[in-house]
Amino acid sequence: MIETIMIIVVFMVVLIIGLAFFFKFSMSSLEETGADLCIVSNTVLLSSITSMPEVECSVNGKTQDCIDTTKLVVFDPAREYGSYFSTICKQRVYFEDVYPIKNEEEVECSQGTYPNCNLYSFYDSDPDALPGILISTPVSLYYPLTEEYTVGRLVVEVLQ
Amino acid sequence: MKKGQMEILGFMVIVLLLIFGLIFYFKFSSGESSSIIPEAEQNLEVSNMLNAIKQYTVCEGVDMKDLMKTCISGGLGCNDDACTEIENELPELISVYGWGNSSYMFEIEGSLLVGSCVGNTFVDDFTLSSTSIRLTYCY
Repeated sequence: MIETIMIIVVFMVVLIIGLAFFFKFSMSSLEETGADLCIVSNTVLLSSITSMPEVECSVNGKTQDCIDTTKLVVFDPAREYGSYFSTICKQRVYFEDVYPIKNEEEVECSQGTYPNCNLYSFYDSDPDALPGILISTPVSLYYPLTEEYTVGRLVVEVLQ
Repeated sequence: MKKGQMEILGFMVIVLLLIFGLIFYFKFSSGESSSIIPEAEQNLEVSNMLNAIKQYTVCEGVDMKDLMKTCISGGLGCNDDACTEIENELPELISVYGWGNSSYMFEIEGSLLVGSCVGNTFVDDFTLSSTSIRLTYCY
């Protein structure tokens, strides 16, 4: 009788260990799926930001595939843009003016520094969070005052 | 040990093997990641790069699209021959963005103007004055 109980106890212990391993692997698999979904949602975000009416170019009433820098300067990231950024993970979004090179250093764009600047902060869900994966795409930046187009980069930083 | 206890022990071994088999199955079956996401991202990048190149203002009142048009018909761009200006301007623009010179090709009507690359490609193009303008990214 004692031997049977011992066997059952050992069996239960090994079964619990086995299940613990199983759930551990299942959890890591779920985390990987979550990370993949995060990348997918932010890739979608990359293409949707460029067509946001808040920043999209409009020349003579016709929308164009470019970003109006004057709209970027006055864009208020503190406002609620939940419908655009309600992805499953936190992110930091900004535009960089890449070419032609204006400054060797990063100069944050504001009403005081515009147009001699190269970094347009757009959205930051958590300023204290560390940067993680970077997703970026080229964009055309439009300067309405001089009617010039430069080459920029839209960056989505997935935060940790 | 009685015969019944031996049977329980054997059953236990079978169940254990089954559990560990399942663990390894789930571990390795989820290891292969899809390449659809990076491909979509890369396609978007090539398409947006071509659009940004097209609109880029080379000099006052002249954008890259105008230069391409002049290059096709033959003539002066801002200060120099339009095709030469594209050949000078484009590699700098693309390298500042972060693409290596051997990772892309820029062609006008099939003739290579800038860059050179081999391998798998992402391509985007548009037609200007009945002429095909093509940007190819290799990886």
